[in-house]
Amino acid sequence: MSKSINLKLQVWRQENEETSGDFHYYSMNEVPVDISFLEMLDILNENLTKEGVEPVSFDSDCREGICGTCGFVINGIAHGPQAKTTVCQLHMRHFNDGDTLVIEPFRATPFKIVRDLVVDRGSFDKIIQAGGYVSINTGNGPDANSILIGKDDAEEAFDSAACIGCGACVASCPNASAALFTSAKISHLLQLPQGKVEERARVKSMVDKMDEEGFGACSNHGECEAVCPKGISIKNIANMRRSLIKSIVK
Amino acid sequence: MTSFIKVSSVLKKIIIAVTGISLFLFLIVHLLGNITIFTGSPPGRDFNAYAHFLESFGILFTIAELGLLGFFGLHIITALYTNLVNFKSRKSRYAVSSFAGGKSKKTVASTSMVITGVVVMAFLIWHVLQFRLGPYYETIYSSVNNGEPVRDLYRLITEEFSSIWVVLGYTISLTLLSLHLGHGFWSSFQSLGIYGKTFTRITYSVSYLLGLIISLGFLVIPLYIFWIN
Ligand code: HEM
Ligand code: SF4
Ligand code: FES
Repeated sequence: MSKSINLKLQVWRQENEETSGDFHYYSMNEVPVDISFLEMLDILNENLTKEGVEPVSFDSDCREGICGTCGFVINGIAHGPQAKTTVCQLHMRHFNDGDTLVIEPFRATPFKIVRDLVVDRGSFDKIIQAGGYVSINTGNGPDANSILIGKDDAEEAFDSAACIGCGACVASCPNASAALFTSAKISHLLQLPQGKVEERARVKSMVDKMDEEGFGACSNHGECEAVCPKGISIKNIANMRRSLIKSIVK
Repeated sequence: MTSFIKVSSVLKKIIIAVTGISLFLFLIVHLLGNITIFTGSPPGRDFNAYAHFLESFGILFTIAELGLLGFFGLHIITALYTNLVNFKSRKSRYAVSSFAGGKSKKTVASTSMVITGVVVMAFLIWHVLQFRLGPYYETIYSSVNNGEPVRDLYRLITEEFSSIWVVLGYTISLTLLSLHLGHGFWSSFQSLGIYGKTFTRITYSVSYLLGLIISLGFLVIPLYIFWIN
């Protein structure tokens, strides 16, 4: 029999964007410490369903920490207290018996609340549509390895590409800035020869889109890097800024 | 005005950083100049001579002053506008907010740049009214300005800093300035896209110390003058 803990949950509940939400309080008894946070919420929802209460809505898909679908804020920290971990991979052993957990959705003006903990991160898609791609005009994709890329460059680009688009960076930023997400996408392509071609147009239009969607400016709090489940570095934000300066100067 | 608003958030931060780091350099020069308060005899001779030396540049000095004013204006307007946008980016606030720790550089200083900035702005207006635009006393030194009268700023500072309230006001303002510079120094490099693993580690780890040193450096003056009176 594995260890279990008792918890008090304070969960944000909101019908939709138009209505105003509030906190609901639930007690969770004998939560096994080996289950994930989302599994704990699954148990809560089963209990609520039995009581005839509408279950708490939250997003998830892979539950392996790779898709970027899940995410909410636990006690003021996006994806909870464990560094480099999504809530689906966060296990209950990181909490103590008797803890009160305040669970809130990712809050940012561009992220409209769909229901409870589910938010619409469509603004990220719009930022990608504004330039987060490499144009191929015709024919098949080029053969693999037809363009050789040094190991260091490939590694750097891959580090940036690791972003799963979860939105925790925006959620944790005091300014609700999307600088980490946007810069990860820009840097990823910037560090590869295929992406260099459209660098100037890309950085300008992605940054403009980020502003247009209503995200804040980056004040270098660096809270994003600390909560990012993929440990995306604020180095990417510096890359984006240099790239933007280059696009203006040249 | 619309063209200013249209400048991207990234470029606005670049403007804040360029003006911020320039103001930072100005503070260092200002502080170095102030060392003259402690030298020369009779007390204040070197300080008044230094002030006279600066003013003797005439039109060039005025241009430098206006340039400085322009940098302050640009820094303040861009920073306040940016933070207004930032504020609107999260209309519904979190019930609980926290510090994630680890690699985060979010601090009390980084989250209160607007507050420390506005207090520093009020302080600067007061400071300029007090001294630059304050009462004009004159004095004569045989070795300065060929024995012609020069402005006696030293007398003005001894008068002003004999009040405990003035000294207290400076202490509070300069403490807040140290927080502003503490986040501001390393942050301006990051805003300009100057990042390096070692470089950023070093600039970040000296940032708050630098802010403190500069503020303490300035604070020594009112405390010293108050003390010797
Ligand atoms: C002694 C004068 C000042 C110095 C040396 C100074 C220096 C700096 C520096 C170096 C930064 C960081 C720039 C960056 O990260 O890009 C900064 C940011 C900032 N400054 Fe100042 N500053 C001064 C006065 C003021 C004043 C009077 C205000 C008035 C409102 C102000 C408001 C701000 C704000 C709000 C930020 C943060 C901008 C952001 O959100 O990223 N500063 N300052
Ligand atoms: S940068 Fe990190 S926190 Fe932001 S969206 Fe990508 S994976 Fe999530
Ligand atoms: S559900 Fe896919 S990352 Fe959490």
